[in-house]
Amino acid sequence: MTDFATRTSATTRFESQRFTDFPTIVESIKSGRLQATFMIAPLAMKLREQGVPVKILYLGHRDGSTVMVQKDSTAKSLRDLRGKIFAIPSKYSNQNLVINKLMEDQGVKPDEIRFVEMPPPDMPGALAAKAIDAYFIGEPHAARAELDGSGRVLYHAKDIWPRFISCVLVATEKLIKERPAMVKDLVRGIAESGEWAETHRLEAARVAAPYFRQDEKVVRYVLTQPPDRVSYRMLTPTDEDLQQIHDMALKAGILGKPIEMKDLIDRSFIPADIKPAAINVN
Amino acid sequence: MFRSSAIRWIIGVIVVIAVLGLLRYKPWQRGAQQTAGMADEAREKLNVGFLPVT
Repeated sequence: MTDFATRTSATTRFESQRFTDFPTIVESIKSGRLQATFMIAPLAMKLREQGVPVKILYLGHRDGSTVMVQKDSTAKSLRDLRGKIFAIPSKYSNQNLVINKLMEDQGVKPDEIRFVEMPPPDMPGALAAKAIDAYFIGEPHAARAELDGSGRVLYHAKDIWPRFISCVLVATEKLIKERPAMVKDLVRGIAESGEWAETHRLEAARVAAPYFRQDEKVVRYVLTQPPDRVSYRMLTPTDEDLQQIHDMALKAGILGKPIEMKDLIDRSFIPADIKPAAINVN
Repeated sequence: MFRSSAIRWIIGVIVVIAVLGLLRYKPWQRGAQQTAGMADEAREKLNVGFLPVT
């Protein structure tokens, strides 16, 4: 996405900076070393609540998160995971909020499942080693367990919460104010390459695999099994979408006070007409 | 011209070495790469953070 934004920007070279955990991303934003990043939606809200001047500009994708259990588990619902260890990427993740909502819906009490926070790349290995019984994470870390035979899908996020949001594109107000053209190029590049990925899934897997440092086979599986496992359309963050996450975060005690959506979201950089990027992978 | 076969041989070897050198170092591509590199360097850079997870 950033490579395409770079190729189509006359003024800016966008470089993807890979992180392995969200706390480091937060520290980089707070220190000013990083001015634009993808991060989990409730964490962006938490930063805003803490007075860190960031705004949500766009969504990274929709759906694309999965609840995995061990291959030999007999669990058919969350109720069957009572007394088990369940890994989530962060308490500030939407995965945590959705699981809490599902527990409530299924009559599972908060203390009946033991939640642990774990960096996403470590989850498939922990499941295979039986250090955890289940996890809820964005792809490709669920597909990895499916493909290596150690895990099976209990729920796809889209089955629990259609058009599920996990990661959002966040930028500092300083960048937005001082470099609006740069921000516009970035959002346009992400929007157009997402539109391309939606209709060129096999080619997108080839392009994305090195960035994820994953076997192309895993990324291809994520983008095709099933084809709606992850979506790169409808990426404009609506007030309703984020208000729902916000309200759940307040209820869960992740947010201490309400945030106005107008202070959190800036949709002014999203192109009116999103055309698929002209990406040639050959 | 070049009545001496030795001179013809020497000139032939020089021409072959020159052609091989051109093919090896591709000076026409280096010029283009330097121009592209300079254009790239002239642009502002923005790091965009991400975690390899969808």
